[in-house]
Amino acid sequence: MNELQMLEQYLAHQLEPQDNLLIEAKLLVDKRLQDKLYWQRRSYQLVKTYGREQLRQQLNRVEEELFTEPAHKRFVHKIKQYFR
Amino acid sequence: MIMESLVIVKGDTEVTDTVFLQLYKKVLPIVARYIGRRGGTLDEAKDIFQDALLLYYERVLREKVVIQQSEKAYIFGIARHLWIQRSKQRAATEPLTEQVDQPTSSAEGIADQYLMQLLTQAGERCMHLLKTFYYEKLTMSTLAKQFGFSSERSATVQKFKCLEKVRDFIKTKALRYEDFIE
Repeated sequence: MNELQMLEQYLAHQLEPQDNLLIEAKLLVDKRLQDKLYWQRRSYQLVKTYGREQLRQQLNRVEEELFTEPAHKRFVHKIKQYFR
Repeated sequence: MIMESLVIVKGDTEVTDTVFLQLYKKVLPIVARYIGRRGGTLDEAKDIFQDALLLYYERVLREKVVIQQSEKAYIFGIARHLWIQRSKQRAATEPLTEQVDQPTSSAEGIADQYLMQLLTQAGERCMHLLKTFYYEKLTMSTLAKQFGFSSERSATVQKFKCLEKVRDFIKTKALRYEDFIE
């Protein structure tokens, strides 16, 4: 198992207790490993933000289609009536 | 309880526009009616509904969990909750400002926006691959097929290569950026 994989499982709490202990011991003394863990965690955050942004783009696209396509005219009319 | 058919996503696949369109048609009316009756605008209803769909996606669709309520009731429940939260927030801050969006103030948050821009330019394919695995949570075998890898094993290897690339990329860029703005 490489280091990235190990840290991934560590962050996901998927390591066996003894491996977990080993990583924690290493992290205490190894500045370089702490650094790697920090940036790996931020990478996951970014991927999540990226995923959400893509999903929002998709939802915007769908919403746009719904509110502009003639096929959905009656539906939109009904929705707009709730805001009078 | 009335059993309703679910606009469900079968198997391990991306959620398509059609699925979301069906959800809009099925659930937006009750959400819009609820918000309209409470003095909200159409734009607010659209906003709330979009947030509710996002949460529904993250909690249910991609997790492939089975919910006890109907899909309609579930999404409406989230939307109602979001609406109440928003109303409370507004009541508390109204004398000050109308602003609803709270910009992230931490250096990390701002840097993330900047990094994302760079990443989408520099490593679109890697970001897409990582997103498919970590955000959409599709399995390795589906991912391998979708991205044209010969096996799950080589998809896994590629996934970690991408992760490493992103990690090293953001480290160099973010350090420069955060030094600059602080």
